[in-house]
Amino acid sequence: MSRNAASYRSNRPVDRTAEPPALARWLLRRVCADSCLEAVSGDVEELFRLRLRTEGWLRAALRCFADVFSIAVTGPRHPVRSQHSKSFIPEVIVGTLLQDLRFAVRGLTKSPAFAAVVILTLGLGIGANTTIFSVVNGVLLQPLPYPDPDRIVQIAETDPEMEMERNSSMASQRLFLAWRESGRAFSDMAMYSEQAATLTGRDEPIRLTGSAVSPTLFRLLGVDAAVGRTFTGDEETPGNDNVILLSSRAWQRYFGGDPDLVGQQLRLDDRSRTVVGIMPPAFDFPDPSVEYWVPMIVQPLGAGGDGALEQQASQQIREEREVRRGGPGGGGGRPDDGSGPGPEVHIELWSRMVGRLADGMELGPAVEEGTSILRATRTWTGPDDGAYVDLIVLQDELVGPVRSSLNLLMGAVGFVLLIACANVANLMLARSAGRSKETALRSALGAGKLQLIRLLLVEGLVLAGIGGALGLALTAVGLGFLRSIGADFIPRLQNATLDAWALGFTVAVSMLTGILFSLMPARGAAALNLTRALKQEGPSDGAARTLGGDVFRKVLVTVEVALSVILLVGAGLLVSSFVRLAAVDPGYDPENVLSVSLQMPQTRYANADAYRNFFDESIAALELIPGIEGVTLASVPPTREANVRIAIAISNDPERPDVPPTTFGIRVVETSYFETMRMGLVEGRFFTRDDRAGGIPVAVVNESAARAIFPDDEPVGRSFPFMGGQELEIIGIVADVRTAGVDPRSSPEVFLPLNQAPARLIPALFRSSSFLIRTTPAPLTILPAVRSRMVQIDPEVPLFRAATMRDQIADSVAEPRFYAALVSAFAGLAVALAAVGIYGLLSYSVQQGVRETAIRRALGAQAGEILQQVVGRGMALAVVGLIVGIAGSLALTRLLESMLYEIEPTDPATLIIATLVFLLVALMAIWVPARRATKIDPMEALR
Amino acid sequence: MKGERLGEFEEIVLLAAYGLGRDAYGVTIQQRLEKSIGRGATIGAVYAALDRLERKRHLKSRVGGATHERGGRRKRFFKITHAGVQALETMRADREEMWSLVEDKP
Repeated sequence: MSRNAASYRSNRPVDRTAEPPALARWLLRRVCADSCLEAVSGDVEELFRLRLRTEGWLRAALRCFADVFSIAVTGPRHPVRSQHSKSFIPEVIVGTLLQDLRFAVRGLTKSPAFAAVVILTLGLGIGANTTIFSVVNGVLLQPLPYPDPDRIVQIAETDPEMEMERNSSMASQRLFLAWRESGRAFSDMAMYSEQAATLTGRDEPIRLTGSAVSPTLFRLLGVDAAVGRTFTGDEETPGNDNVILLSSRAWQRYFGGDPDLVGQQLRLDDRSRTVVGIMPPAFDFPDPSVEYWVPMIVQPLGAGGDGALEQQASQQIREEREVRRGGPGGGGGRPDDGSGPGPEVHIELWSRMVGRLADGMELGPAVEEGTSILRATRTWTGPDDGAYVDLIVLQDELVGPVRSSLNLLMGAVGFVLLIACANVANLMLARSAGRSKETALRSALGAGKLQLIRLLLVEGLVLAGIGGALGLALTAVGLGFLRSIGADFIPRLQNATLDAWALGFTVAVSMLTGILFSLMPARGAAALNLTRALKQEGPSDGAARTLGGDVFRKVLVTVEVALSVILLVGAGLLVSSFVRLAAVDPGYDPENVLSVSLQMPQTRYANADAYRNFFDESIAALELIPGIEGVTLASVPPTREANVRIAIAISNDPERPDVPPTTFGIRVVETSYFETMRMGLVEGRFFTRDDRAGGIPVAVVNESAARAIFPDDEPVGRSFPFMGGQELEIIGIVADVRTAGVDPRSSPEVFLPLNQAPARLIPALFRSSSFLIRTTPAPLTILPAVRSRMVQIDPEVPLFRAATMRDQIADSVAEPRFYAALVSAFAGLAVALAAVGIYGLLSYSVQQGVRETAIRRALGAQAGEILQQVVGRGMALAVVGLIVGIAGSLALTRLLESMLYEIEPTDPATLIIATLVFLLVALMAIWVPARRATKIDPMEALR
Repeated sequence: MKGERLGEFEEIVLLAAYGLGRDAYGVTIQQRLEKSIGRGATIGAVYAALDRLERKRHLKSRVGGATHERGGRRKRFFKITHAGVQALETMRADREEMWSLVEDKP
């Protein structure tokens, strides 16, 4: 006994209330195994009290922490045999689970090829699924970021008589005013239209894209400004509307986030506007490109209100329609016999309109109210008017166009995952059959069925976990990729982030697959017949049959084949549709053409003459640049749809004057447009310098328009009624220009010469117009020279969207290309996985049948016969799957119909090509094991 | 692994437990190391050694003896086994043999 040991047992008073620091006690409870927690924490506390007396609190506390950390590091775990221990059972389970885990990892590292194939298969399947699910979740499932988003509806005025473009979803300002005045359906209504303007007064002019909106829009959406305020109600009256709201992005980008910007003046389109607020970063109504908002003025227009149209159109309305009903004989007459009664002209301004349903109001009654208001205000139509109002929940309106495409992608990746799971199940099954001897040995040594199953389950979960992690990493990459290429045509794509939903989805999928595929071998392990498995000297056909997996594996492979064939056919259809689309003759020669758009400041270019002078001067200057063959100008480049449409009812039959109007796209072009673009002249002539203001009003129409105006007659040389009672003589017919896209059917279009186009339309049409420049060298090399010339002419006219015509055409088919590429990638993946499945099954059965093959060889079978047998077996599998797959694709591909251009969902050529491609891949997968079977040496195998 | 042989730290921990007799538990063992030979081991290190010794069957442990100083928690008392005593004596004999060879040297 040392004196020191005695000293701590002295009778000095002990502060029995002093306890070790709470943090140390808490930590100890977490790091110390339950089995020895009581003894250890007692010791720690006792030592603390001891040291408290001799060394002071600080040192005692520090040493106490050192003790706790040492417990964490050394982790004492007494081999408790005491009945009192409460933690006996959990500890044993945790211990063996860890053991299983270690065992599983060791087993997998021993067969790296197997593990790699499984992990890769799962990773790709899970990655593809999570990526697409993230997109679907962000775009379709997540509600719009406004309060009660399902009460916000898009209001569309629909008239079955007028052939309006589908999905236009617009409404007239007349309806807006009337409904807001007398309706009760909505608590708030707002109109909005996209626009663009030039910001000046800085180093260089900047073109901003923005939106003119009714001030109530912000209250309707339930969004407030981040800095400052939104618009007030009186800011939609003329004179009070010199205010502007900026997006957070524009604020950061152009003003460096200047906190004092609110209250300052900006010059937008030569008009001074006060910045009243900055919107929150997440606010992106109506679309993410919006940089500013200005109030929209909605005023009543009278019939024939040309002046008002000019005023409004030049301010903010990008989309407009004029409805004109020609009087009897108003159409089809020659220029000199237009002596009928003067046609009545109605002018309408249309833009987009939203409303928030009032409390207790449902869609049905709201539609009824709107329709009755609409019919009451449409003064010029008869009582049989079929016009009605359509209400679409805003979210459906936004994502409706991509819903079916995204669901299609979801289905495609779902197939990929199913195939991946089938493949993994197959591999696991083969593996467990391959080690039936090991399992039997384990079982003979005392491992219970439960333990064997748990080991397999743990192995499956390890694989699924690693595969899931790989899939998650692939998702991050895939999402970034999709967001960079799909943002132009998938709305709300910026919402598609790898969020908790997607993460939960991945984990659920990977866990489910883990359990799913470890189930099959585990069942086999449980049903294992010990003696039989142990008796077998080596692998033989018997092992697989013992596990009852042979038929099941064939079924799995057949299902894989069928699913991948369906995907292959779908991809084939989308690709050939895209190829057809890309090969559509645009109707002009797009090679070596540069398109440069320009934004005209509004105030200085207020009338048609100012525009014409500027264009004349610019074209003359640009033509001097070396390498430029020709320069022309159009209100809209040929790759874009006409932004102004006019509906005209033209009756060629005096008996039936009341025909439905046709909507014509209006393109105003410079004289040399057709020659420079090398458009196909069908009949007549192009514009010449003689078609100037004051001359006979002329027009060139495309073939669709010619058919619409004069279905039976020879159109060239004849006239048709146009705006304001004007008659236009058709001097030429050009081939239809296809603006491409998914639906490249061309619409009727009328070309007017710039020199003759109605003066009041020029500012509206040409505020954003495009130079089209045909060059000798590569078009983009000319761009710097074009820019410097334009700066010399007017430094305050910004140029934008400079691109070659080829690139613009490629952009216009980007969406079908996107879907075709994605589905093809998934189909390729599916086919590769199915090939791996076939390969795996056959090489396994070849390996299992080594003895049988050897005996046959020894009995005189030729290599060719063996080869034939294996190939036959593989092909039988492939063909059965193929037939099921073709049948399935005939049933399923009609879902693709809306995405296909000029190709039937049951296109036989595509089916045949898909079949051939698949058989080729299958043959490759079959060939390797078949060759291996022929190489079996009977002497060696039978020894 | 050292097999059944004792490591140096294990040896002194086992010696401390031997010396403390019926009073050997975490705190007394730790204190004996610290006060007698100046080895301020942490309680974790002591328990790790005790653990190993118990697994090698050089020690047995039992639970009991709660006191107020330790918040009413029971102690884990250690008692050296016959094998433990033998292992210590073997080591001592080996050491003395080696020392005698050192001291015999001129």
